[in-house]
Amino acid sequence: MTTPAHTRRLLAAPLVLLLSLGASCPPAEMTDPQTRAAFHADRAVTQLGELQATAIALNEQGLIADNEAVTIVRFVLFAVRTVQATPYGWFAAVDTAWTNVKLHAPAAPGSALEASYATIDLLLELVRSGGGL
Amino acid sequence: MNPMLINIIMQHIVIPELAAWLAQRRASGQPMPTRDDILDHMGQTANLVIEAGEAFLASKAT
Repeated sequence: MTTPAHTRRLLAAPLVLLLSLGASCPPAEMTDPQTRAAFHADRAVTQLGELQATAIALNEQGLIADNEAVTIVRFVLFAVRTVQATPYGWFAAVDTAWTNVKLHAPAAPGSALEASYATIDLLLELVRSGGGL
Repeated sequence: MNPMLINIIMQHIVIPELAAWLAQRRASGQPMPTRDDILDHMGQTANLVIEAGEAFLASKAT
């Protein structure tokens, strides 16, 4: 018996999230606050890039509309440029922009975008809480 | 996201995974990356992401 595609996606989402989590926190040995902040900035850019790649791939497959993909890509460009320009002070601007993206291009439950959205949510939550370690 | 859920994930998944990652780095003699190393990597990644995003937007701007 095979597992339906939507069920596989639902099962894959938490796995992707958990794998992303492991790379989202600075190592405990990084005690310098600016080095930890740089680590967060690096992880943020990487995960934003993954979100963008997912949105573009889904758009190419016809699974999300152009306006939805464009909204996500515009957000990613804004967020990445903000992180690049201010690696120690990007959080508030990116967090606000992300809230707006979720209002205008929400990921449907069980959709292929859901795991990517959850990864960004978690990244921001970890940065907000100081990295957790 | 629920702070309790984050805490559970941190305690049971992230911290053990990080410990394993650090042990692997130590075993292979890799030093901890410096702040400048990390920022340099971030900048390179950012440029690639921006390039891909701009190309996508250009393809949709008709």
